[in-house]
This record gives sequence, structure tokens and C-alpha cells, in this order.
Amino acid sequence: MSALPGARRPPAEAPPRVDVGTGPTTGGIALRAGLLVAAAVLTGLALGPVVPAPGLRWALAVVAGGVVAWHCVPPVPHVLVVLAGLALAGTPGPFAPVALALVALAHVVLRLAWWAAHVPPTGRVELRALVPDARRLVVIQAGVQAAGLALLLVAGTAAPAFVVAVGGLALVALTLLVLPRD
Amino acid sequence: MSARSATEPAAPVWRTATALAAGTGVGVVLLALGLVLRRADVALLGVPALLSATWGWTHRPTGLVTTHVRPDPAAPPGTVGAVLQVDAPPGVETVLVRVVGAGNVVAERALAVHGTPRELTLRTRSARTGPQDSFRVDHAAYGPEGVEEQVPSTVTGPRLLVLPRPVALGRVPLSSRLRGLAGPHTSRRPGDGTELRDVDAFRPGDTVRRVDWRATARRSPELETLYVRRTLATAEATVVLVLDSRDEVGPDLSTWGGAGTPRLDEATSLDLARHAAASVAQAVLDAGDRVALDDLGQLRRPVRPGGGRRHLRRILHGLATTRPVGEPSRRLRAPQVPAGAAVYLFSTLLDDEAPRLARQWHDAGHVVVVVDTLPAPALADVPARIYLAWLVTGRERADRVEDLRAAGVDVVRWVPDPAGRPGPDGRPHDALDPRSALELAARRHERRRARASRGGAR
Repeated sequence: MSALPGARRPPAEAPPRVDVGTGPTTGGIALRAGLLVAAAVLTGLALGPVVPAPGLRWALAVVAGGVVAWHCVPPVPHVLVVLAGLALAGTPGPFAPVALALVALAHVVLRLAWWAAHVPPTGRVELRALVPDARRLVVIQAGVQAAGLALLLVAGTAAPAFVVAVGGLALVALTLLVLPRD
Repeated sequence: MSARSATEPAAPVWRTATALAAGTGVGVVLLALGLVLRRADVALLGVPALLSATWGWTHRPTGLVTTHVRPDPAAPPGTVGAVLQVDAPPGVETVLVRVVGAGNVVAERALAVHGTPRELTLRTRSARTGPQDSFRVDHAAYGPEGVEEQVPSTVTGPRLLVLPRPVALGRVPLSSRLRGLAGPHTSRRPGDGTELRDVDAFRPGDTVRRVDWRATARRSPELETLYVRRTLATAEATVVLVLDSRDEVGPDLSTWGGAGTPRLDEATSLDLARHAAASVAQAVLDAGDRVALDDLGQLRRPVRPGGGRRHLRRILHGLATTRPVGEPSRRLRAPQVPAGAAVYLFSTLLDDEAPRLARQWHDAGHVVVVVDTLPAPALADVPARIYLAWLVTGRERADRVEDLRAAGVDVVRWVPDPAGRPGPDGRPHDALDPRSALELAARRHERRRARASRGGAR
């Protein structure tokens, strides 16, 4: 008995871990890293006309991306997308071509934020689980990008007042439709 | 493994997640903004979020996701193994599971389910053996785009039996008296075997194929007498494993008095004894010999001597089901050991009972090896009174070990103690790893046996 009280307690064996037999997976950290990059690029592109200095613009973009990646639960990423829309409104012209990129990036940010909010950094997600989401994203983006290209081509032509009125009515109807009802 | 059914959770329900409100909110706000500012690009920015939420809302799942945890009989020794079954109805795309193992070890996974049941193996290496708690699984399910979510619920699996994990050992001490008519060892009596005993004249009972024609031609050219090669018979050794399961102590000295329970990530003395006995059993069975198992703590039918892989499984299950019952008791009669068998006693040597029985077997002519299975005590931050108690207990234990070694009983420490004192012969027995210590003991026994046979021959 040579040890004395207060001596360092011998460490236990290597900490055990639970192995779950899943297919190929990716980590929650990778999701957050992807979210950070996507959110930063979205912010940087959207701030183009608002903040002309590239250094400041991209610094703000990285900060915004970090905030979204750190706090990825709603409504943080959604607020970022709305702010990107407001910044986009500051660009001159009836339809900024960069909007096509922003549309895709905003969609990616929202989906990655959902996954990052549900898979903790220490957790893992099966790659197979991401496939349906990615497939839907591609389908939606294909339609939206086609519509965007059409809008880009017809942008600048004056829309009749009744078209704007129909659009407003459609928006009100949509709002009423999505409002929660008992 | 035990087969108690899993605890069923309360019926979970689906609810609409914040993803729907957030997605439609973003879409409506950006569309309104685009309309007010007459900017189609701003309005376009909100369309994907709106479409995504709409898709999720129109493809809501029906039915409930259920999970079950059941034992996995294919789990290797030393691991807690179970199978997680996830049954998901159509429309469910993702199930998040949070698996909590012994010692609150957590793994979180997002699984792909597309209306088909899935089975996943759950494994965690366990420092503890015997009956152990299984996994607890919390799960939540999501429909497309995360718009609908099933309320998280919890399922707990049945208790599992964790088998001890044998480690590879080299030679181990065996009995000097071999038994049986066949086996991996050469005995000292004539019979069917491979080792030459002598060449002698043919006599009734000898088979013709044993005739040594060269010796016959040399010794009896006229073939008046035929000479046969006689060999030594083969035999097998029997080893009896005796597990002292009367007490179970961990490295934490403060739990020895019954206050608190040993940590789940630290092996107790009984876990070490199970691992040690399993290792010896595997070494003996791999060599083709026979193993029996008895328990000092409980009066129950011992596992009879046997051989082969299935017998190893029987021994492992027998070891895993041993456990202390009540206060350590005293055996009035030592467990019966087959004549000539070697005895391995796995004990903490915290009282005089195990050394007494070891000496009895040794005096009866058995080869006895005592395996000391006390884990290295953790002495950090122990109160002074517990430290003093440990000093006294440790001293008493050391005296018992010295007495056993002085009596000719081999004592092997399963957890090497680098600070261990040298034995009566000046060798640092306690500092050796068990493989080396058992190898040394085996050589010692073989030398002793060789000396005895030479003395008998003279």
C-alpha cells in the first residue's frame, strides 16, 4: 500500500459509446457548417447593393451565418431570409438577376436550418434521410427558377392595375388560408 | 438473455410543428413585400418557403410510429446488445432516436424511414457483466418538410444478460493427474497414443498393425517372436472453476459498506472474476480439456465438467448469472471437486473463507490457483477513516496471500499491481499481468511434476 490519500484517481477505461447500426451518416457539425456557409453566402449576396465595401459586407455575412448556425431554430433563419428580401428590394431595377441565386440559397438555408435544429452537433443523420428532402428541393427550385427566368424576361414591362389588384386579393386569400383556425 | 417485454409508451399523437407557421410566414411576408414594392424578385424569394410548407401540409402522415427494443442474442460477450425495431406508417420520412445506454451514454441518430419497418442493432461495450439495464430509446417522427411531428415518446428495453469477455491466455496450470481414455495430453499409462513407450514382444491383445517389422527383423531374424511398438495413452485434464460470488466490491471504497452502488463504467470484483474465469475456461477448452464451474456464494447445482464450444457458452452463462445473495456466508463443506482436477478459485480474499477452502483442496492433492480479483482501489479523496480501514483490510489481505503462497498455492492477481510487494521468493508476483503470471505458474507446476516423476523413476 504505497498510494496516499489525495493521489490522482486512475482513469476508467475509454468512455463507452453506443453504436447504432445505421447506414452511412453525416454529423450534426457538418450540417451546421453547411448552414453557416449557405447563410453567409446568402447574406453576402443580398447585402451587395446595401453595403458596397466587400470587407464589411462579408464580415457581416459571416457573422449572420454564424448566428444562424448557432441558433438555427425558427424564426432566426426565417428572419434572415426576410432581411435578405428587404436588402434585395434595395437593388435598382425591376428584377435583380442575383435574386435567382438568392432564391436557391434561401431555400437551402431554411432546409439546412431545420435539419441542424433537429440533429444535435454530437448526433448523426443518415444520408438516406436527406435524399427525399433534397429531391423536393430540386423539384421546387426547378419550378421557381423557371418562373424567375420568365419574370426576368418580362421585368420592366408595366403591369396593368387589375393584375396588381388580383395579386393582392390572392395574397389576402392565401393569408386567410394559412391562418390557424379552430 | 431475459425476455421481459418492452415497456409500451403512452399513445403518441401528431402535431403541427413551427416549421409550417415559419415557412408560410416567410412566404406571405415576402410576397406582400414584393407586391407593395412592385418587385417580383422579392416576391419570388418567398415562394420556395411557401411551397415547401404547402407540400408538407398536404402530405401529412397517418398512423403512429412505434419502436420496440428487444434483446439481441448475437451480441458478443462483454457488450450490451439489443435490436431497435422502428415501425413507421406511410408518409413518415424521418425518425429521430435518442438511445441512452448504461451510464447515461447517449447516441442520437436521424433515421430514414419510408413506410417500412427498420431494425437497427444497438451495441455498447460494458465494463459490467451479468444482468444489466438495457437501452432507453426516445423517439420523435416527422413528416415531409418537418411540418408534422409526432410527440416524443420513450421505450425501455428489457434487462439484458451481459456475458463475460474472455481474453486469450497462454499455458495455464493443469492437473498433474490426467483422466479419461482420450484427450490432448500424453498420460503415463500404456494405450493408444502417439508417444513411444517401448518396443516389446507381441502378446495377446496387441494388434497386428502395431508390429514393428524393423525391430522384429533385427531382434528375431527367424520370426520366432514378433515385436510391437507400444505407445503411451492420451488423456485429458479437468479444471474446476470456483467463483467466490459472496461479495462484490468496486474500486470506490466508500461503496464497500453498502452505501451507494459501484459506478457502471468501472468493473467490480465480480466482473473481474467473471472475466478471469471465462478466460481460463476458454484457454482450457481450447486445449481440449474439460471445465466445470461451481459457485461459493450460492448452493446450486454446479456446471458439470465438459468440453467444446457449446460448453464454453454454458460456462459463460453460468458465470453471468452468479451474484451475491445476502451477507457473505461460510461453507461448512467445500464444493466437491473431481479427483485429480485442478481448482481455480476466483476471490477478493477479503475474508478467511476462500483461503481456507484453497488450503483444503491443496492439502487434498489438487493443483490450486487462487486468482485475486479485487479491483485497484481508488484512493483519491477518500476520508481518513476509510483510508485507515483500507490499510487494515489491505494488510490482512496481503497476509492471506503470503500464507497461501507459503503453503504452495499459486496466487495470481488479475489486475496487476505495479506497487505490489515481492513474494516470499523475492519475485514481484503482483506486478505481472495475468497471462504471464499463469504461464509462470504452469511452468513451475511442470518442473515440479518432472522432478516428481524423475524421483519416482529413481
